[in-house]
Amino acid sequence: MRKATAPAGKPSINLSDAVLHTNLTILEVAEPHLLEEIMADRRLAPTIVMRLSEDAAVVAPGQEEFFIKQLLKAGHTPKVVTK
Amino acid sequence: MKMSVNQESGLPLPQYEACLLNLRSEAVKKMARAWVGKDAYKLNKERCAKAIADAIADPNTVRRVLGGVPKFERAGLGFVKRHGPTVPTEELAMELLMSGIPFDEHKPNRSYHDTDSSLYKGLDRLLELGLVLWCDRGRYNYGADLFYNQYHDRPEVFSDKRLLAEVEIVPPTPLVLSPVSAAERVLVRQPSQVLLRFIAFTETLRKVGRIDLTTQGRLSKYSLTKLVKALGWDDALAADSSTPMANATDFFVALFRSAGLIKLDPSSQSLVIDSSVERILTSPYDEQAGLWMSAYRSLKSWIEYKPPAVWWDASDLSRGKKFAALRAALEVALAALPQPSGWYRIVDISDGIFSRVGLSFSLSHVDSFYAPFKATPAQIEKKRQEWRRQVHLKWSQNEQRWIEQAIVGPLFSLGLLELAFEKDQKTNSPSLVRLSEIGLEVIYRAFRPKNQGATSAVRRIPSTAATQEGPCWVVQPNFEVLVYLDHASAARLCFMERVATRSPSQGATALYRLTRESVYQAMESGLDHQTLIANLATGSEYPLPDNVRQTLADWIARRERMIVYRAADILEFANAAARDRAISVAGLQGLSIGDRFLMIPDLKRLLAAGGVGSIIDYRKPCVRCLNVAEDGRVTIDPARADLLVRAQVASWAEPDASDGNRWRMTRSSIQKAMARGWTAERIIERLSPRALDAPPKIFLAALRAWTGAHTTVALASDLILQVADKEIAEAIIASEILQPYFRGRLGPNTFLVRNEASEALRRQLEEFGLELGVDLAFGLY
Repeated sequence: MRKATAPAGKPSINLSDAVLHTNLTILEVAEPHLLEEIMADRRLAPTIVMRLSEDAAVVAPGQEEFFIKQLLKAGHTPKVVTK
Repeated sequence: MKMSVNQESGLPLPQYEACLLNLRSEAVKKMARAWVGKDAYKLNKERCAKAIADAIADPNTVRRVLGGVPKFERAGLGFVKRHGPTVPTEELAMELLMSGIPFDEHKPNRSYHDTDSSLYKGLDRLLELGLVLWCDRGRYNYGADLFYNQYHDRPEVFSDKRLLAEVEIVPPTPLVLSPVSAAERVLVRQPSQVLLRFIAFTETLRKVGRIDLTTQGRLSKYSLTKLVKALGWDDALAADSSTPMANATDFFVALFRSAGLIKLDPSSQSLVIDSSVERILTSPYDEQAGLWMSAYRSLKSWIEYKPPAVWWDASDLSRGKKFAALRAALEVALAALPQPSGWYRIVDISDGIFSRVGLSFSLSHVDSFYAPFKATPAQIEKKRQEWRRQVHLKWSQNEQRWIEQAIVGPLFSLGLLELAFEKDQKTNSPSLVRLSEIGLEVIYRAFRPKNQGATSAVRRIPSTAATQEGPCWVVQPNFEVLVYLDHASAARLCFMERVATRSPSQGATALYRLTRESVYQAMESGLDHQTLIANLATGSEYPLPDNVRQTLADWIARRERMIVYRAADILEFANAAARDRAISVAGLQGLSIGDRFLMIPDLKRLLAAGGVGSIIDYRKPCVRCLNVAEDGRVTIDPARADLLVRAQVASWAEPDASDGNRWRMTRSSIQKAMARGWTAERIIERLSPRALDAPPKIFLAALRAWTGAHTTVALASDLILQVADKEIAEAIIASEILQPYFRGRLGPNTFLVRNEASEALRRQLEEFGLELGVDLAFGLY
């Protein structure tokens, strides 16, 4: 992922072609192999419903707690950011 | 700092003047006599109430009237002043009797069987003069009588603040007790040790999150067990040979709840830590101790010990009130010790309490004395002595055991008392007690005005460690941290509880261990890297070992390598160019993900700035975007699809190579899904809410069959007999001769004929003269 910064002073945003997905749980990893590792884990893989990129994926809605618990069990220490 | 115990309810305190009007006229007139003189009897109730209200508004009149009130009643107001304008009824009644100040006993009109009321004879004096009133808070509305009545539960009494402002808190009359000179094996609980327990409890509960309540409002067993396990001290405290404390976690939950530091979260119907807890725990312990004592006294859902003769249920608050009253008696008894710093036998203190309230109070039921009929005074006295011995025996089996447990359990654990053994004592349980330095402050001196409390015989409290902020631990290369409790501040202990795991330890030090999990949990709770290292370093008496510093940095960096964003909002664009245009031209801000996505940090701002094509909220039920055909073909409607649907469909269907929106569920794809753990019902459960129209039933039947559901379908060899004429059809069905040839009737004019009997039927029908044709042109009617 990279941080997008906008030029200053832009008035309004027209996003009529874009789709807004709200209240999703997204996993972001620093290196793609970490996501591969998760996809190879039989407890974690079913909770990943879509890969957005090589270093980001969508976690199944309603499975967030289970997913985080399983990550911890697998020895990961994810930073959990809540809006 | 002013700290107060959580009141019974959040309902507003009644106004003194308004309460007067709820009383009987006679009672108000009697009260008014003290305030406005003999002429009160000439006034009606309303004017009396007005006269009293006017008199109370004038401090000089209040001083004059209170100056003429007997010492007992004035002292009673002092007890009310100690706790605030409201006091639990039983606790005040008990304090009044325990004060040892003599009073004029009036006997109101009570039921003959109302034996429990003898506890309230002192309180009745204050009620009769209107110095305190029932605090109904509008719930009971039966405050007309100014004396206790066991049939009307009134949990609190209150007094007017203007009355309380003019009275002093009076100490109880000293008990007639002899101190013990030789005390051995003294047991002391230091304030820092007590504080450590509170901090450990707070931080553990914070980590556990909450304590759920059942629908009846009791603590959920699951939540409590989780907390007990996380704290890990119940067994050790219960097994302590000298100062055992059973159900310690329950006690701390009840204590924190009583102190208002755990509150009900109505949205989750659970108990959560209140934000005021940090302020309380970081205040000097002698200030905190007053709150803990007050909270402990009013515990209603936890008891120290259940005497065998007493029925107890934590949800029965009326039972809890009796235990709270006995705690009040014990507190007054400790404040009435002849030598505040002296050692006393616990048994003697119990007997001291018995001497003042033993004949009026019992945790079970009060045994009254009934004089024998036509007995001489000598015989009555002999009988009375015998009765008194029996009551005392019962006291020693019930209330005394409870007092012993209260002293060696919670009061010692709170650091308010010190315990010791008598010379040559054989038993494991300490028999001697004295007030600790903190206990002197919050129990003994609380009953004495400031200018009289400092006598040479009373030890002074040294400054407590709760606010000291110097170095107080040593971080060792093996990640263990040794904390010196005698100079550890509450803030330091809170920090250590947050970042490290406590190991069982006793005495003046506490042992912690820094682990990857404990540091991770601390970071997740909001601690940042710099604060963690800086606090560890400034609290340490020696520089942090290099390996510890490096490993902590590694653990923290590792956490940054994987981030889970909860409730994130992302924008999906048609392609990378559209997204980049939105960023560069429209000024959109966020985190780019892959080629087409952008995570939005401020959704409100985005929505305020302009609209988006469509919004899909993943907290709502999933979007319907699938068309399912009878042959298992599944088509995704791209205009409605969310991010999850393709992954879901891919679990059970095979993709169409030519079109990314077309899939097909086949026997093979379903069997592959089964191998991954899917069942027919789970597939249907996920598929149905996604389908724009209900999936075809024949496909659902096929899906179940592919997963192995047993279905039997057969092409039967039986024949159908069609009859054009309705009358003949009725004649056939009524015929006994023809019945054996049929398997059943399919419609009004059609019959299912047994295949093996068809030839015989043909002959029989011909015999009846009916002409047989082939396939009449109508259906099954």
